Amino acid sequence: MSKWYEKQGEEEIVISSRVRLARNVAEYHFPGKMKEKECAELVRRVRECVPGLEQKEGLKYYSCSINKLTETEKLSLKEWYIISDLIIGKEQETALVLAEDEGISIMVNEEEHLRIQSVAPGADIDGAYYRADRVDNYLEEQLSYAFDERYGYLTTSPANAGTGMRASFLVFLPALTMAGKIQKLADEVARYGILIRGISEEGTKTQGFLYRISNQKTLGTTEREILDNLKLILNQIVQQEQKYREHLGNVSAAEIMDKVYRSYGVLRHAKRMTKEDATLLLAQLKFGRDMGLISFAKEMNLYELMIRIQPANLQKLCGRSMDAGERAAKRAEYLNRRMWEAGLREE
Amino acid sequence: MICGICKVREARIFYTEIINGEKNEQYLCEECAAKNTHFRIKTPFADQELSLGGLLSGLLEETLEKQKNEQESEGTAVLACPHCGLTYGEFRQKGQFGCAGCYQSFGKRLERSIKKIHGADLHTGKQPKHMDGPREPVKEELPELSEAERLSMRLQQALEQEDYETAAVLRDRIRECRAKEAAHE
Repeated sequence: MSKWYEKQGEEEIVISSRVRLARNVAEYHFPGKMKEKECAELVRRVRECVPGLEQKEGLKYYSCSINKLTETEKLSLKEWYIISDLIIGKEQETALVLAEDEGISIMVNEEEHLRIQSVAPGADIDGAYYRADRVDNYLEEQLSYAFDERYGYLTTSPANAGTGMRASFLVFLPALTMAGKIQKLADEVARYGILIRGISEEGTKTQGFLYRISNQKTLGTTEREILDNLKLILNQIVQQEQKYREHLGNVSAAEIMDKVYRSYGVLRHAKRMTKEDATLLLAQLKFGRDMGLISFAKEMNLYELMIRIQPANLQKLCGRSMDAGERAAKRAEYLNRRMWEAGLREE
Repeated sequence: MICGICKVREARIFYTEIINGEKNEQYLCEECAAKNTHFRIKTPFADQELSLGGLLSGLLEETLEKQKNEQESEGTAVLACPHCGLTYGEFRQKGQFGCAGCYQSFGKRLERSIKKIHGADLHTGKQPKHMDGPREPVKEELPELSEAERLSMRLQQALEQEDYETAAVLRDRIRECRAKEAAHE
């Protein structure tokens, strides 16, 4: 079965939609105060839910103890945003339950007992929520949740209480980034309870022009209201991005064209590339391709490539661990080949 | 530039103090500045990544500081969740609760702060299916409380209502109970 990100070439601006639900089981203390025996028991109980989940969802699920994974496996899952640093660092028993298409993943004993994550390609936050909700309903039947009429789903951090839901879009905003508008945008949407953050660095700086737009508040509004508000803001941001793309296309077309083809040239021929280099080059190439400045015979998911060339994923691809120097060479080799396979259409 | 006190960390603060016309200048790191001077960085991010937990403790700092001072001046016991043992101090540090019962134990004191974070303090979203009918309060689902724990909850209520006379009586009774419990063990 293909993964959610393999189903189609990635969207131009909105790469994916994600919903995360924080849930705790009523009978145990929260993870920070849990005893080892309880951690193991909860892991066992959640893993027992797997057959039922498979039936509900009609696809296969895998489950594993995170501390039993190799370092490379852990980090590669982190690079796909499936598990977090927090859960990797935990000494207590933790687990991951993962759907075959990776569209649903559940971290057990991270900051909360359960963190249900649902991801859908493109701007389909309703689809992502629908699936998260279905999984949540099933788990709730099996494990009774900690819930309070006033504060909703009870969570370790009161900042997540209420719906316990963080909904977000992963967006690609090259034009707004180049125009230096991200900070201003972030300040503006903050007034509507929406957060914009760079995906790989702190604050609004980022790699590869990728940002996450998410709801800040989880209590006091319904799930529907949170999703609708987020969609509204997303539309505004997408429109702004399109406007600036058009503007850049008019004002500095030659300059952008040059940048895009230079990126392609390096990706196609360079012999060593760091992760940062490669991410930026792929992002510039994506920008050029989305603007129609460069085209390929074969469809290529550039977002997927940005993840595939991260250290752990690259090592997984090569089947062994490598130092940074060797990785830079392998990364270049891999990208050279992918560019060649895509087949540049010469004008 | 290295910090003039610990001589390890990098100095990020240039601290000037003028006492009785005498000027004293130092280059300090954030940690030493906090320890040795009146200078405080009023940000929860000074030494950690941006996290909502940290942000929350930052928000709570002010109200809690006030409450703590009140508590200390009244000489009452340190408040802890009777279910998981999490103390107020621990919560302030991390912004994290230890169990569902913490929302009952500290919830009332956090009302204002929760409102600050969420702009609301009433959940209106999804409910578990079994919640459709009238539900039992959380308290009854929890293990039985000891005498001292029950008293400390009443003490909390008394403090909230600013009924310090009752609070003082309760405080003494809690001390007695605790002493008895200790003797038993």
